[in-house]
Amino acid sequence: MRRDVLTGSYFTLGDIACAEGALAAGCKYFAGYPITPATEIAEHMARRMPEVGGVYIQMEDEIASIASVIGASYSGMKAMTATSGPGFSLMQENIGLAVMTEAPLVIANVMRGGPSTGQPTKGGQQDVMQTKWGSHGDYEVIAFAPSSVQEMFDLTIEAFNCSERFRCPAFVLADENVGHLREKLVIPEPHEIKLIERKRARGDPKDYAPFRPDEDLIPPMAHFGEGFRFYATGLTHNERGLPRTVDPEVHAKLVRRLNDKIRRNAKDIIKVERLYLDDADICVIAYGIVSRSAATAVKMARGMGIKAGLLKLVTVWPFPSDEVSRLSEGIKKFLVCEMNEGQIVREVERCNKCSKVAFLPKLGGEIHTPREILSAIRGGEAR
Amino acid sequence: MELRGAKQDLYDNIEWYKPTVSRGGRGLSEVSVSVKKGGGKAEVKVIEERCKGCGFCIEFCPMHVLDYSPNINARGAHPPYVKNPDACTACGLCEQLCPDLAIYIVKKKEG
Amino acid sequence: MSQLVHPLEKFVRPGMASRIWCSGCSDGIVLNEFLRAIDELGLDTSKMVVVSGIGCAGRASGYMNVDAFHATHGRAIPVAVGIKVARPDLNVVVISGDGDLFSIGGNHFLHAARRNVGVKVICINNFNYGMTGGQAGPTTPLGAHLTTTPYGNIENPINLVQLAAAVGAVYVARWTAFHIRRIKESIKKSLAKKGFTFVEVVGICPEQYGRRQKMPKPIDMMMWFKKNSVISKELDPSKAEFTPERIVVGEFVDAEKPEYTELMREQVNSIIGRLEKEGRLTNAEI
Repeated sequence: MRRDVLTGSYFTLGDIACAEGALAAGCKYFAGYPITPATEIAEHMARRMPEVGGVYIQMEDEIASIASVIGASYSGMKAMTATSGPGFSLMQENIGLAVMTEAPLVIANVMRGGPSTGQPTKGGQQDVMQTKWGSHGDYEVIAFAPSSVQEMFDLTIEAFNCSERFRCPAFVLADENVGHLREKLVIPEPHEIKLIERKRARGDPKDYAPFRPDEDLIPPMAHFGEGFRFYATGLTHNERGLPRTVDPEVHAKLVRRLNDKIRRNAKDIIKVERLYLDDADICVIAYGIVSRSAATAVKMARGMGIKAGLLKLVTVWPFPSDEVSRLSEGIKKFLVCEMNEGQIVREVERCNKCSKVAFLPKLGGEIHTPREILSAIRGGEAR
Repeated sequence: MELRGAKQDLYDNIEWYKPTVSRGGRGLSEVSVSVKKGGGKAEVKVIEERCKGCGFCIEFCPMHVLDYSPNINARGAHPPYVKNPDACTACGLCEQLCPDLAIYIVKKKEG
Repeated sequence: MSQLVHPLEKFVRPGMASRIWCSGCSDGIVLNEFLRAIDELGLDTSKMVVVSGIGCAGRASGYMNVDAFHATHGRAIPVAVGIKVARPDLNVVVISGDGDLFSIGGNHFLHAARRNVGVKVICINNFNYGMTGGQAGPTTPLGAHLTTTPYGNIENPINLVQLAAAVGAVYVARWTAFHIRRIKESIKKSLAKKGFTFVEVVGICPEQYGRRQKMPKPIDMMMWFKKNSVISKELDPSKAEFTPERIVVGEFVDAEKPEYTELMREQVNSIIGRLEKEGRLTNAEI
């Protein structure tokens, strides 16, 4: 049996499942900094990375962590880092650098209560908007929201696949409740895990242009030390990677391509799960740990004869705008349940065409109970 | 506590170097160095369009081989020209000091 | 278009022979000495990566025909650490300025030196933030007049050589832009040495620093260095004084210490060896 894919059934922590998922995806570089509640990912990686011949390094802060992950990614390794809210805020500038230099990497953000130091040991879903809009500039991201320990494993692999395919940072947005949850995890055989590798540069190094895209808007990637002698910069650059900061057309073309390469393929990336939506009057929208309470609530509502359904967001970004717009034509009300003051609900309001949108927040680190969601479905308190 | 710089100029103790040439190609003062005709040890090549006119090569040549040319290149600088080719000792200081790859020497073969 | 070919032309990135630096800027001199150093050592430039930060010195990486990465402000060193640790076989060099490496990037310098990662750092210290128009920086001398210290700088500058020696760099040297051949020798030595090395080059900034300190021409700052620098023959960082009247240059630290990627490789090999011997898959509990 292979050391990086430990096939079997386990009863384990969400953070550990995320680390095992990364190893199963072929991650060979982890740089991190201790932060509750993501420290377990770093600790597990510290034990496991040397065993698979990879690199574990604890950097001096989160900024150094993400910078070194970009360097490792460009050197040919699948690389990741893990953090929580305060560290995520520190990483924003270099996330922009990863977007601009099209470096594939994965960031696991085990979300906790914010703002600022907030509630280190209690969960929240308050970093969702920051994932998309945190860094300066216009860019698209891919973010997954696992709701169980098994999903922590599976979606980390998915995040690596998406980041490799689209050459962009991909995020695993777990809430602390899922990160510190203990549940059954099944790690499959290596041949059952589908992996995607980045497109590699081929041909004569003299003709190579590091940011010349193929038909699918994604350029093949060269690694350091292969003789391609390329230049990668965070400045606005042309296809050869050379800075062209004052040329308006070069900048417009570059930024548009960085956004379009994900927007164009949004249908492939977006994953949602639907429960009883075919004839629903009320659609509950939830993600992460809240979707589990919502699923129970919807089943209880159906038991009472209320036509409720659930749209569980597995990918939070790109947001499933088309699906939500289409749904809004058939149903009477959306009920968005989040552990924050209103983030995904704004996207729902944006895409909503004909129905009403109600919002059920819960702050403080406690998860919505099924009864609370049920009572909101029945017309009780909701904003 | 007396703040340095507030009352006294920081560089009062440094003797100012007064260059022997001024820009505009007015030329060096005559230097009497006895050189043999055709005795220069290297040819000095100047890539005029790269020169930014810093003057390092001209000022630091120990044998005063170079001087500011009266021509101006596209950057607005006076590139050097080889005024005393026979005095060149092939020390290479001009090539080493130039920040812009605008000047280099080609050593002449012996004999 | 002339047919003249400069001897260093082979290292120039195609289309990037013309440099943006001001007339007389010593960034060009340092870059050329770096190219001469790799020429004389005969290094395989396809196995070299140059990482630079933001600023005038950081533009150096774009002019060389090697793999290069232009990172965000102050974060050149962690990117370089990531590259070196992922690919220990590559030669990783960081070329950047004093503000980039020691103001915003000071923390990263400290930890990379502490770990002794085999990254070679070349800092071009021109006492200010030149690219943004001449603001005071961490190495600006006391009393200097720059755009953000119009009434005179009241902050003490940092002594880069003493800092590098204190945090554990294995090779530390300081030269000025005047000591061209010494810069090249120091770069050669640091490229050949294992571990974290630091070379400080005290540089000429005629347009931002020199002009405001009454040294407007490139020659003026060069002559300041020539007249006021003293070469130290001892390997003693406490002698590395730096004041406008007395700039002590030379090599200050030349030590041997195990390099980080070597220690990492030893540890990984011993862990895997033990697992294989004991027939186990992992030490961790899932």
